[in-house]
Formats: sequence, structure tokens, C-alpha cells
Amino acid sequence: MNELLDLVSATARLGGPLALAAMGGLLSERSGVVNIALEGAMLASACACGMVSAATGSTALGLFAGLVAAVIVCLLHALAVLGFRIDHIVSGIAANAVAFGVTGFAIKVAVQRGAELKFTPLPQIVYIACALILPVVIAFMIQRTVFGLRINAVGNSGSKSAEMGVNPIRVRLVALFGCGLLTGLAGAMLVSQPEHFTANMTAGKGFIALAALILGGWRPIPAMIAAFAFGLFDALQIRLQGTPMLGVEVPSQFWASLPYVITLIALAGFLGKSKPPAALGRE
Amino acid sequence: MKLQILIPALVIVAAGCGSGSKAEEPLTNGESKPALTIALVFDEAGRGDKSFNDSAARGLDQVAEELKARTREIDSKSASDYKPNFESLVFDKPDLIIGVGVSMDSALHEAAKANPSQKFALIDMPSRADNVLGVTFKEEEGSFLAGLLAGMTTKSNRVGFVGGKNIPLIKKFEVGFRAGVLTANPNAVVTAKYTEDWSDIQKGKEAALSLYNTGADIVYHAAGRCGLGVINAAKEKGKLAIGVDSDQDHIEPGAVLTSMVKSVDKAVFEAARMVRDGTFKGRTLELGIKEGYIGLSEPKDYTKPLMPNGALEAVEEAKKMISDGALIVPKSEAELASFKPPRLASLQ
Repeated sequence: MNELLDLVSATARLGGPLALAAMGGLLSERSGVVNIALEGAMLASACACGMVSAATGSTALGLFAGLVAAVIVCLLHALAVLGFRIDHIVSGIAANAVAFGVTGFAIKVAVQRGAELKFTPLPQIVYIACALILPVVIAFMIQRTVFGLRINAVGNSGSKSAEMGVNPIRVRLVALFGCGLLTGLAGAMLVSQPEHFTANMTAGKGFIALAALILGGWRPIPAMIAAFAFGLFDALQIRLQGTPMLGVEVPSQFWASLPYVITLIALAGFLGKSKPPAALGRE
Repeated sequence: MKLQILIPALVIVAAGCGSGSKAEEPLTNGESKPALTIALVFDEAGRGDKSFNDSAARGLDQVAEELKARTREIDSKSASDYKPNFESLVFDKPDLIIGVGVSMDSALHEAAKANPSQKFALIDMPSRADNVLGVTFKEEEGSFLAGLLAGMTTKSNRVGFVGGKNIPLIKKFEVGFRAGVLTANPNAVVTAKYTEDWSDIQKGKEAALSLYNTGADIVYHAAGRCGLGVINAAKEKGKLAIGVDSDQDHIEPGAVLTSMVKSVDKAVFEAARMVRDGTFKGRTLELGIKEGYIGLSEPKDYTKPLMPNGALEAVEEAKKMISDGALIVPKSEAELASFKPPRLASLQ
């Protein structure tokens, strides 16, 4: 029983940031903007949240700073793809590079000045609740509200939506703003676990969130399930490490790669069925 | 159209801000002789891990201060940066270029072979060229002491290890630790987990939590920045962690039993001093307890109460045996299999 509880809580901690970031990606991609900048937005949020919390001693201010930082990264991406019509992938790579460089520089300066980066975060349960409830809210919003339908419309065809009197740029801007808030929450959740920011601490989680989004067919609840499934496999592999299987010592590299391999297989198996928004990355 | 090129370009320039240089010292140190110039290349981690890289950074700061040298440091964003980083540094012709970390081995040697007159130092890997000083450490010796202390301290007879990557370098930490635990407490079980990542601090914490939740009460780490997650997990669970490379006792006072200190800072300083004194020679140094480069952190008022009586005496005894050559600590699984635990008088 204890072991089960341990596994469930580890799954929630590992899957939560992925689910939140996947929801951010969902808003962005359903409106037609490819967003590989989830990684950079999460990293920026984790850095801002960790550093501001540590500097001010206020978790609320830290969370706010994290949200702002992720929104900035997402709006930078929006400016590039909506304003300057730069290819979505190129802009996403650039946004990630900026986030990586700026957060790396920030921590270096902070460390050289002898800053302590420890802080007391919001309890994990708050973030876990967000990761479970927000996908339901977003599912309702996407299917049942006017704004949700507009996101769908511009995601299918920006030009047709414009003819119907919906400004695609405005809808996408709002969607990317929402994406910033959600990835910001994801980054804040991530940094709240070790209560410490370190350079490049997202370590590819933004891309796994994106994989969960695609695996879930760009639908909120399936994407959330995919994110927590990845968390479950990650929690499992950590627990299985060091235990011989059928008397054979399995190398740790095998276990560590397991969640990624399963994701890859799942993506290869499901991708035929999952259909991206028609205008994704095209406008 | 031009904006489409300009914006990514600006962005890339901004991203490049991650690398900084420190050249506050004037070109001459007051005398007519030009100052020593020392350049150092970090791997993807850079400053801020409170462990391995911060130790190297302390060494560099000391070089700047005590040798009045001009120092320059470069961060690498990925392994593909090592080569261009070395190439651009070679162009500046500093007196010494130091590469910090195993992963730069091939890039550094490539640059060294192409520029035989440039002096290099490489931390954690042996030298393969006449102009490269390879500095390796006997981490297994310090890990043995850490294991000895853990074996004496554990109450649950279960201890854990969290490694960054399952590579021979990190295996030395694990194997030395296992040998130490075995010597102090043959009944204790050691479980090892690897994060397979140096920067994913969340995974470091989860690996440690899984060990603590299955009964371990002490976890030793050699996982770079991931290790900060291990120490946080110890604090959260009210258990103990053992720090690595730098003295990490102060990070969470009372949750860190001791730290296995590997003096990368001293090695960086010595390499620079050798260049200044003209004693630099391409060779491989193996630094351990005997040489004074490996050991446990100084016991402090908040770490001593965590240790059982007589523990420090046993550590001192083992330390003496190792530096006298009476005890050879295993550094691979194969050597561990044939390892005979020594009888320590202070353990009886």
C-alpha cells in the first residue's frame, strides 16, 4: 500500500509539470502556432520563480515572476511568427536559445555574487491540483465557449476565420498568452520540487510535454493522460533501477531510456490516427 | 525580408551572453613582465552546481587573486561547443587552457594536437599528448571513507547512491562507497540509482526519494547539479545525504552527514602555478588521499552529532592505511568482487 502511494505521488510530481506544459502547448497549437518554445518558457519560469522567491522570500511574488517570464518567452515567439512571419520551428529554437542563455547568465551572476538560491515553495498539492483540474477546464473551454471555438477556427484556417470577422492574430496572441501562463505554472511546479533553481533544469521536459500533446491528438484530457503516463514510467524506472530482473543486472541506461522509448513507440503507433489542427505552422 | 534574418541573429547573439570573460586585471602586474593568462572551459553545467564546477571556479578565482593572472572562463551550451570554444581560445594564445570535465577529452586533445605549442590541462582524464597535463583523482579513496562513515552511521542498514551517469568515472565513486560500507557494516545493503543526467535536479530528488522511501537512511551522490535534489530530499525526509566534490555540508545543515571533497580548485591552481614557475610538463597526475587532494569535509558542530562515537577515529585510521599503501580501494566492479575488507582496529 505504501509503495503504491509512493508511486502515485512520484507520478504526480513527475507528470504534473509535463501535463501543465502540454496544456500550454495545446492552446498554442490548436490556434495554429507550432510551439517548441515550451522548453524555454518552462526554463525561464523556473529560473524567475526560483530566483525571485529566494530573493524576496515571497512564494506569491516568485510564482508571479515565473508566470511573467514564461509569458515573455511565448510572446517573443508570437512576435516572431505572427509579426515577422518567421518559420515557427526556427523561432521556437531561437526562443529556447534565448531562455537557455539568459537563465544560464542569470544564475552565473547570482552565484558569483554569493546569492543563496534556496526558497520555500507553495505546497506541491496546489500544483498537482492545477495539473489535474486545468485540463478539464481547458477541454470545456475549447469545446463549449466562444473563445474556444475561435481558437479552433483560426487553427483550422486563419484566412477563413478572418473572412468571418474573427481576427486570427488577436486570437493567437491570447492563446500564446495563455500558453505562457500554463508553461509558467509548469516551470514553477518544477522548481518548487527541489526548492532550488539550477541551469538547464528542465532537461528536455518541454519537448516531452509536446510529445504528450501529439500523443493525445491535441486533445486536453488525452494529452494530460499521456503526460502522467510518462511520469508513471519515469517513476517506475527510477524504482526498478538496481533491482535484478530474472537474475540479470539490468544497466541503468536501459531503465533511464525506458520512458523515452515507450513515448517513441507510442508516437509511432498513434501518430497515424492523431490529426493536427489544419493550419498548424502554416500561417 | 531582412528582419527575418536579423531577428534570429539578434536572438543568437543574446543567447551567447551565457559565456562571459573576466579580465579586470591589467595586462601587466605592475612589473614589466606580462601577466599570466589562464583560460578555463566549463562543460554544460558551469558555475552554480555547488560541487565539481564550483570547485574549479574557486580555483580559477584563486589563480586570478594570488597569481595576479588574467583569467577567462567560457561556458559551453552543448558538447558541440567544446571544439569551437577551444579553437577560439587557442587563437588568443593564453599561457594555459584548462578543460573541466571528462566530456571534453576528445575536443581538448584534438586542439592540443593541432597546436603543440599551446599548454593545456584537462581535469578528470589522463593526458594523451605532450602539451596536456591530465589531472585525475582517486575518487574511490574518498568515497571509501564516505562509505565507512555511512556504514557506521546507518540505523536501517540500508544506504543508497545516486550517480549522474553510469560511466567509469562515476563507477569509481559508487564502488569505493560500496567497499567502505562493506568494511564498516557487512550487513548493510547499498542500492545505486543513476539519473543519466547532470542537470535534471527533479530526477535527482526523485531518485533519492525512492531510496529513502524503501528504507535507506543515508544517500551518497555523485550527480552534479542533480545532487542538490538529493540533499533537498534528505532534508524533506529527515534523513541524511553525503555531498560530493565541494564541501556541501552547509547546504542543508543537519541533513548532510559529510562531503567527499575532491580538490579540483587546488588542481586548477597548481596547474596554473606550474605554468608560471616553468615546471609544466605534459603528463598525467593521479591525486588521492596521500597527495592531499581527496578527503572528507571538516566535521562541523552540526555534522558531528550525526556521527556515532568513534566514527572519526575509524575514518582517520582508514585514511592512514590508504595513504601508507596498506589499503588499496577498488575502483571497478571487478576489483570490488575480489576486495577483502581490511580489519580496522578502531572498528572492533
